Amino acid sequence: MVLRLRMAEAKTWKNMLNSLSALVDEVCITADEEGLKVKAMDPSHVSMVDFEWSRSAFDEYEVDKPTTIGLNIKEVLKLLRRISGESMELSFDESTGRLEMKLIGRYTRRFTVSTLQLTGEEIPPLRVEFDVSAKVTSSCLERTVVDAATVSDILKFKATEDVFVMEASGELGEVTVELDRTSEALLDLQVRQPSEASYSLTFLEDIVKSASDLAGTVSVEFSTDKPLKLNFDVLQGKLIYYIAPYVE
Amino acid sequence: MLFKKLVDVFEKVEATTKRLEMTDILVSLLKETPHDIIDKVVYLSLGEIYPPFIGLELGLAEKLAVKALALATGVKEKLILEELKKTGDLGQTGENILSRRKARPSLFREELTVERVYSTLEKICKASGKGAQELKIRYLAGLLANAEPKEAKYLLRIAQGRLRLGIADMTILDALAIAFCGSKEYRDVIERAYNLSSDIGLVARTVAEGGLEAVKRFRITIGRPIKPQLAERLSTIEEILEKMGGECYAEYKYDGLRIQAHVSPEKVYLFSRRQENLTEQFPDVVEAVREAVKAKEAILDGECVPVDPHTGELLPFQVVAHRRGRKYDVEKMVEEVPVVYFVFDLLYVDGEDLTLKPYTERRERLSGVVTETSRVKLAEYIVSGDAAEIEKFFHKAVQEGAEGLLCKSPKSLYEAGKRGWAWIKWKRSYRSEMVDTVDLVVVGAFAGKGKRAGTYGALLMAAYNHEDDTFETVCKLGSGFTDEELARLPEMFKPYLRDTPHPRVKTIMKADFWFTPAVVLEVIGDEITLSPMHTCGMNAIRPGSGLAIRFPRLVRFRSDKGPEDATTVKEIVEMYNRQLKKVE
Repeated sequence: MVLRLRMAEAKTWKNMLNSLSALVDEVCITADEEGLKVKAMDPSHVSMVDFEWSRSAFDEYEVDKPTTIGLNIKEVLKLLRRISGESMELSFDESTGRLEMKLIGRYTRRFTVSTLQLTGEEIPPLRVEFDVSAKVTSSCLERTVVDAATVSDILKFKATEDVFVMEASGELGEVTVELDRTSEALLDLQVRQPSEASYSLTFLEDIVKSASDLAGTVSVEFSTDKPLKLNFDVLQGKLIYYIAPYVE
Repeated sequence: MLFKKLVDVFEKVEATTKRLEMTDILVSLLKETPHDIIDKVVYLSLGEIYPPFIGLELGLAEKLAVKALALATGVKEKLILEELKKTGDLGQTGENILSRRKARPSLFREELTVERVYSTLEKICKASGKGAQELKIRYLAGLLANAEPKEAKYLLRIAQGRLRLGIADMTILDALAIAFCGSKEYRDVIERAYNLSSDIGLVARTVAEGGLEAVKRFRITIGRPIKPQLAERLSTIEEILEKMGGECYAEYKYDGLRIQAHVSPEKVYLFSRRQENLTEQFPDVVEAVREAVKAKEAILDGECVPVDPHTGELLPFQVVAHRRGRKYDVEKMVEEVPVVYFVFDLLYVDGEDLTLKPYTERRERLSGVVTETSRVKLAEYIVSGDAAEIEKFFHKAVQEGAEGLLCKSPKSLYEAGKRGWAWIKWKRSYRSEMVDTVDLVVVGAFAGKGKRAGTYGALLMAAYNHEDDTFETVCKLGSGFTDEELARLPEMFKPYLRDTPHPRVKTIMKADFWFTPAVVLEVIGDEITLSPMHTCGMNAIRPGSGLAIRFPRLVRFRSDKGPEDATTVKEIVEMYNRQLKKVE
């Protein structure tokens, strides 16, 4: 069994793990000929992530058979806290169950971590039709979410023919962000029928904070009282989050 | 196996008050349960996740469980708390809320299985460190989001460590006997396995997979506590000797923490009377046991007692009680409350099960395996059939800080988990509380050890016998001094030093230094007890016994008083009689 990956910037790997750590502490990463894949649900089953990083994102990608690696992301991220401009080589030794991260910069650092035996949950495909699809800049979404979280736990998404609205209200006050077709932050809006739905800001906040750096734009898709899909436009792969609706 | 099935059983068990019916319900549950998860089913039925000695318990704070319920249902915490006020039980609250609310903020719904419930509860148990609370909430919410109303009720109760179905361990053992051995009469065999391992899940799995034969082969394992043998109680030595068949081991009954120590080449484990793991809280005992035990593997039974490091005297139990349940400041406690582990039994040594050997033999083997050190000692005992001799020993024990005596039948085997007449405790039926201070004369001193090397560890104190114009000893005083006072003592007593006891001093004790009676100290104690070791009021209450002060402490120096102004023997005898009360 061979599993060896090389990337010009170690930071890429850190960002990948960051985008997962929003929802889970432990993940099963599958490596096959197409790239790295993760499907994971947070423990409360309120949200999930569907993540793929295609082989073309790596400078070298050598995997001779599909392999799963269980990782405690928090622990790995602790090790990666002090990286800067280095390149990285990842290799996995199936017999010892250890993952090596070799950081190559002005000198070489070698981190080896134990992997976990995880029984990955079977996650059925989510079949939902979305009536609204709004493409916005990640920074707009991130700012809105952070602002909204200061007044409430819940963020409501609303869309009519020409307007996409995000609003939150609580005892302290209200936050409303209204985007129409003239707004720079709204790149595209498709509405099959007017819809509105609310979602937990706890999850939204964790997600946008760790994913916004990875993509400039994100598609926000939802239907009335149905799950939310956040599809971040990452370059070489996909990064999609789902959040279950909050129903009053 | 679906969790729903287990919940149906819980419902039935809750609805019955008859133990036999409860047993029947459990028998059919156990028969239907796949063998590889029978341990989990048994733990869950008892509202637990692991046997007690693992030291991991559920017990999610109500506040967090409410948050989980809110997250799982999308119902505001405030509304949940209002409902909770009405029902008074979060389980019921959860059931009510879920049956009113069908929509859940969950991406998927799937029926809960016992396996998933158990492994998720395990994760809740084990989550620790930063972010652990949030993680626990999310795991529980994940279960609740998939739960039917009734399932939610029990999930919430289990998560809070409050299932309380009223299923006793013994009921489970009965049910195991009927389900896998065909009859309740095999309960004893299964119970023995349970008493030897304290792990009901392991026993269930053993009997389910291997039947009666496998349980019969059950062995003691280092690291799994044996349930301790317990003692009955009688109030006179005559009755005790009669039960014992004329002769018995009479041991000090130390007032401390019962601890079972397991020694293996890799590790030492300490377990409480209720099989909690105390290893982390008593690193000093772990070290001391390692040092004292000569065998490769051994299981010892004994009592951990707080001891004054300066005088070597026993201290009241409350002092050691502070040390259990401690997670922080363990190091500090080791220093402040040093303990001595008094061992009295050897249950297992190098592959040999001694629980089936008589006490005489176990006691003998014990002294071969344990080398006494300053921190591990063999419990004081005599073997006797003479009531007067044992009674004298009893008073000595009490005066030295023990609770009384534990009398053991020489031929008895170690009956794990049983309370029987093979061990009988004899505690005081009367005690005389000390309410006033007394003024006592210093007549001698004992050399100090450890920190007190070079000065005195304790002073020998006496009361004044006005009739005879003598001084009669009443206690050893080592507590209540400041470090400065202690350091000054040798200098202070230099003028009064002599080689032998002063002719006016009546003493049985042998001190290291003797003084001319001159210095008076004010002293308070917990109570006045009978003692064969002190001469104060000798024979006044009981032949062969004087009176002594238990747990004495210095109040202040009385330089204004001369030795003849000290509290008289007559006054102490009166104090004893006045305060004498029956002990319940």
